[in-house]
Amino acid sequence: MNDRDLDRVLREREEIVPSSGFVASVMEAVQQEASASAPIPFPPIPFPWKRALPGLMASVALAVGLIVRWVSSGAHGNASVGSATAALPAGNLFAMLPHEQIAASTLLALEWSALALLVSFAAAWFSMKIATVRE
Amino acid sequence: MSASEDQADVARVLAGEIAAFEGIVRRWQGPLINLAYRFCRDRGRAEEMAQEAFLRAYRGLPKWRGESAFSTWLFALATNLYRSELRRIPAGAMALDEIAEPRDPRAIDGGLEELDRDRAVRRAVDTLPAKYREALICFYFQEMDVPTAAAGLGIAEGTLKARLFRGRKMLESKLPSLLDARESHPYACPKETA
Repeated sequence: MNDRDLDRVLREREEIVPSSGFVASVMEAVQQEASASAPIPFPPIPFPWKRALPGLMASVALAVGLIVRWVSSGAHGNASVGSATAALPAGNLFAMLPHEQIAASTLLALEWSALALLVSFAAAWFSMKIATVRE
Repeated sequence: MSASEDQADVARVLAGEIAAFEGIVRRWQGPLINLAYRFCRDRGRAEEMAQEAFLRAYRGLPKWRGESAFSTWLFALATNLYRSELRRIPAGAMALDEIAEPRDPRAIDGGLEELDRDRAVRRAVDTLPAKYREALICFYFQEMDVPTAAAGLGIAEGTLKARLFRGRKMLESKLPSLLDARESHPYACPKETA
């Protein structure tokens, strides 16, 4: 045997004919692969109304109360605010401050609280609207 | 086999028409199974490896950018898979197909000795270290085309030539009595002069 014979032996093709079901078998595997890799739509996450409702109602009540109080305090002037702050318990830090200052700081805190609540509601409403549009 | 047919089918598959992949499988099933058979010498395993190669090709279709021929890409992918499969589970002494090999007409004409010799050569190839065996398999499978075989193996042409030379030399040392009359060959070992 020479090198050319070696080439011939190594080159010789023992042709294997694919079995009849080979294509079907491959395509079945490909179909499975395709269905497995297809994106699964996220199930809609229900909003937890039961848990959120008491908190929401409390927040709304607080916001309404604060607004009403703020409006009424604005209408009645410093006198009524002064009487309201006078009801603070003894020993409170506020007691050490002049009445006008307490009234002003309380009013400012109320205003900011009301604003924060309104912003929170607006943010929640906006988020829910976006989520609804995407569905 | 038409490169444009491959390109068209790939485009259809990428567009979501999975059934178009069947055209690719039909065109390339023979070559991929036969290449796998050369690696493992087991028909059943060759089909399993070829199926896995097609699956990987399906997964990797978006990565084929048409810079090389589809066939080159497919063979490189398949060769890489077959090599790692054979390293994971070596072919071993799976000589079942060797025993059940189709009858060679030379045997009828009294060429039994030649047939045995050919089998001995193939067995000797199977016992070579992986990198030399793979080089020989790919080189001869690709009709002795060095660039295509090198691309399939993912190595430089010079590396492939060196492995072919070394592989043949090892074969000759394994089959000294069969290779007593050597002729000059591009990748043959130089004759030893006394």
